[in-house]
Amino acid sequence: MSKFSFSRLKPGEHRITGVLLVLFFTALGVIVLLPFISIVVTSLKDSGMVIRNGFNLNISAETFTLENYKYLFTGGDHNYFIWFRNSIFLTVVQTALTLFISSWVGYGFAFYEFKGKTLIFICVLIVMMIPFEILMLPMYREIIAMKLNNTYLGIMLPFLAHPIAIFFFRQFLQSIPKEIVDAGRIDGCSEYGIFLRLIMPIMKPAFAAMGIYIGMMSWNNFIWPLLVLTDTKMFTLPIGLTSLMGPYGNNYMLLISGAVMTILPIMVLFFIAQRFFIEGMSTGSVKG
Amino acid sequence: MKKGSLLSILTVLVMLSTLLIGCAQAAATEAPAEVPATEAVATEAPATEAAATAAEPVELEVWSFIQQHLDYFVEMSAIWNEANPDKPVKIVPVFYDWASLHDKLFAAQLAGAGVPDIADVEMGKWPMFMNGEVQFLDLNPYITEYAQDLVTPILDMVSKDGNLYAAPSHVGATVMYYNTELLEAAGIDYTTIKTWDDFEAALKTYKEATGNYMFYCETYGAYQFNVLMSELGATLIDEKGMPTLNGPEALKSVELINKWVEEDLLAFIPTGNADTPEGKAAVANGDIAAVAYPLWYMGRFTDEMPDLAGKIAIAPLPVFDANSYKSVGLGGTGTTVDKNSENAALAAEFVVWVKLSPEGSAGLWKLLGFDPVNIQVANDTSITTDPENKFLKYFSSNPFEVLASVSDKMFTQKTMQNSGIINDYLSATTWNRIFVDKEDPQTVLDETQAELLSQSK
Amino acid sequence: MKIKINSQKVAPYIFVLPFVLIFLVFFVYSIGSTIVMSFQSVKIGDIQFIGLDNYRMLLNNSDFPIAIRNTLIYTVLTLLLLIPFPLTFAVMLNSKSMRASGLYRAALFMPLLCSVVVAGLTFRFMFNETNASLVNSVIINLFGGEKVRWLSLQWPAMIVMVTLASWRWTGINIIYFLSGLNSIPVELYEACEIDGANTWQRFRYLTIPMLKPTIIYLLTISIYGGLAMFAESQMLWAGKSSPHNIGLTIVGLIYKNGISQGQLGLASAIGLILLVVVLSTNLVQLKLTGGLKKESK
Repeated sequence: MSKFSFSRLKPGEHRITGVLLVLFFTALGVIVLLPFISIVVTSLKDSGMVIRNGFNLNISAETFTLENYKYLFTGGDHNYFIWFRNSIFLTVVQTALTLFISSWVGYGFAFYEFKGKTLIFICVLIVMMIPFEILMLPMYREIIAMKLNNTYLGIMLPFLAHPIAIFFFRQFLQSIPKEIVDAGRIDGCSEYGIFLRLIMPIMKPAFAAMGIYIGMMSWNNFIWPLLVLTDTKMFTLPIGLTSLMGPYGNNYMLLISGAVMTILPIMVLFFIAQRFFIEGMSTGSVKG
Repeated sequence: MKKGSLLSILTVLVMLSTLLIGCAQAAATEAPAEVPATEAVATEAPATEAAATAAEPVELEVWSFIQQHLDYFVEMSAIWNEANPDKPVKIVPVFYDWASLHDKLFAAQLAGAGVPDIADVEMGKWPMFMNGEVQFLDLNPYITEYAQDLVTPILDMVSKDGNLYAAPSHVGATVMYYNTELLEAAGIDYTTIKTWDDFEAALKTYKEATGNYMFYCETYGAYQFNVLMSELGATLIDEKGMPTLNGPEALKSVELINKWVEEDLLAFIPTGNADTPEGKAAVANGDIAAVAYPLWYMGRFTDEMPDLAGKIAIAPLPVFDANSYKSVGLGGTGTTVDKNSENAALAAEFVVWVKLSPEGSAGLWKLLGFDPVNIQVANDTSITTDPENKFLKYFSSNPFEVLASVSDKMFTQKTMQNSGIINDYLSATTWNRIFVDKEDPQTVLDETQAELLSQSK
Repeated sequence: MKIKINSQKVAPYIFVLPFVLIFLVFFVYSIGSTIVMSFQSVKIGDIQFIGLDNYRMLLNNSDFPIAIRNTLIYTVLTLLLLIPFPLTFAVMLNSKSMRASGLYRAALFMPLLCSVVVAGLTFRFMFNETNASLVNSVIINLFGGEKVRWLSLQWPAMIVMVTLASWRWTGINIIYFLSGLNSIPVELYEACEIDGANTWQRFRYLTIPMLKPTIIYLLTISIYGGLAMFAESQMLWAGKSSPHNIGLTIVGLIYKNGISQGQLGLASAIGLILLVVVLSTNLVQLKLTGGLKKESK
């Protein structure tokens, strides 16, 4: 492990600092988790109460009910599980492809000098900074012209070289010594082999961090899939869930339990994969 | 182990990327081959159609943001198919939430692709589809059979330049809903409230008796303002769609509410509107005892406030004086047909039948409590006094009687290209400046008018 | 294997090729037509060239200054909160004295897993304007104050928006800092210790400079994220306009004009102005921090 000691403390001081840190983060953690707790508690209450009083943490035997969940899983002919499966598929594929392609591009920016580099990099910044809301309609027209509407490829393709990811990987790679690359060349690696075999392994912390970001972005993506997809069977969870929320979708029972059910699976997944992410992030890059 | 797992991730990545390239190539090579195929289908189509007229139903895609509306279309299509074996339809229902439906329909119309055959459009969003070249089919040729029975002012709302672009779901006549239990406890008989003066007296009695507020100040939305303006016979926009918000009627309307605000007779409810979840909670909680809304608000009571069954009465709106208009049709939904649809004519025939024929209009009433656009329904006592109807059972007065008593003096507010901007500005700025910040009404109205004129086109 | 394509002259172009292709195919057209639309009145089936009218209309639009004010306040507040605090937290979480650090990291990352839709909904009801809502009941019971009309007044509404942003983004920013911290070679710290540097000196002269790429990255995306905020306010006011437009942001104005009111030309004009502002702010920032310079090592 590459954990460094921040200060040269004696064992006793270590323990005091440790206790203080734990207290601090426990308090912070509770505050951070409060909205989750409140939404879960609320989902177990009679829906009428919620709208009247807002979210709070009061719950009693009288107000406790599982109706909301029963309704979510059995009532109505909505396609919760289909949407869920679609979202998982889209998120996994989009995240994997985006991480690979964007790190590929980011490496080009970080380790080479070439004509037009600054210009191309400014294009990355432009794509990153132009509000998507105004590009949406022209891009939708293109997707239709390319016959990619109602496909997942149409949702993913414009964002596979994701400007935020490219920028992040570029920044990350700048802190990696160039000697690795030189050593690779001496060893006879090809330019691409250097990236694939020497650089990618040490990018683990960066992949873990960006993986979460891209994954969540894809999981929660709403407006673009809404435009591209037309077939109800292909809808993703955010589109499906939002359809329960409009001013006319007055089904609060579904709304709140449905909201919990979008977060819960992700939480479980995250806790399972947590070790991977945390380890990924705390592996020293240079040691490899 | 580390190296191994990384390697496997890498392999998957590489495989996926080749897969992607593979896909793209496949699509590219397939594309030219596809063209003749579709052509072939296109040329074949008429032949098959002729051969199997009775058997093959035509698929019609329908978008709505009201699930019951979609169910209703599907249900009615079975009846239609029995009556019209020569032109059967198959409804493909697609549900979107309110905002998504309009955004997506707008984008699809702009892009010229992906537009459904039939779509519900809510009146609040109606103006955005009236800009430029309207993409909806003119339904006038299809309504001739029922034309003499339809409430025309409501058709005007969805017409432009003489073309009828939607089949409305209801008249949306605005009425007052009273919580009789609360009013009786305060010693108020709602049937004696005829004018706004009577209403004001009731506000005072209620406040003194209970310490609570009977009515609320609407700071988001413009229903209360629309009601008062309509009673005075004033529109919010002129013939060209330009705002007319600082005339004497507007001032009179605003000052009536403002007077009650200053005398502390009105509640300020969360979100400032009684048709949001928070606002409806205020109604359900009894924080207020009266709301002014169109008849479609009945469904909010029956579906979301079952506890109040039997305690809510529907009554005509209070009026200024004997010359006042008695009600106005507000809000609502129009069902539109895409004029570029391959089956536009059939879709139009079906939509008009489902929504405007006596059967269709009656079905909408039974299912959704929509006051019928076809007046034949109101003449049918088996419908208007049906003891099993959930709306007639819920309310302590009969909505058809109220409707009959106001239908001789209904006002029409036009919904045109700028009403979206106007509604938004009133909600975000004007009401807050007048009722919350207590600024001078005339000044604020003048500034509102000037600002909106500059934003309108 | 060793063909021309492997030369150091060609390789960088192969590396940036995916981006260039996607940029040419999807973004050049979209950005181009946005620029064209900003000089047009765009209606369905009726497009007309109207010169600078959209830009002129914008100057007269009273919502525009409000949107700019809200957006700027929001951006500055989020920058002040979302860089120093996550940095401190990350350093604390990474310290050797910290026990069960993984558990706390997981807890802090949690909000990230929540979509804006769900987060906005939750905050909207937590900050509901009744006495019984979570936040108001805490205020009333603990401090004996009056209920706050959170979503009706300017500063309370700003507090809700910034709280929502901090809640959502603190976790990911900690992640970025952690991944940066962990790529600092341990040997450097050891060398520092041998030189007798104290904790603060090591933080100031080793950690901060080594984290510079991460800080530059976060500055850049935070400036963008703040100036382009929309979804949060959209959810807090359930897609409606807020009283006195206290929740209106620049992108909110784009959405309102472009989508909800069908004035695509005007929306394009606002979007381009926003692009120019964000891009130039960030280019200045990148120049100052050296983020645009070529690799120095």
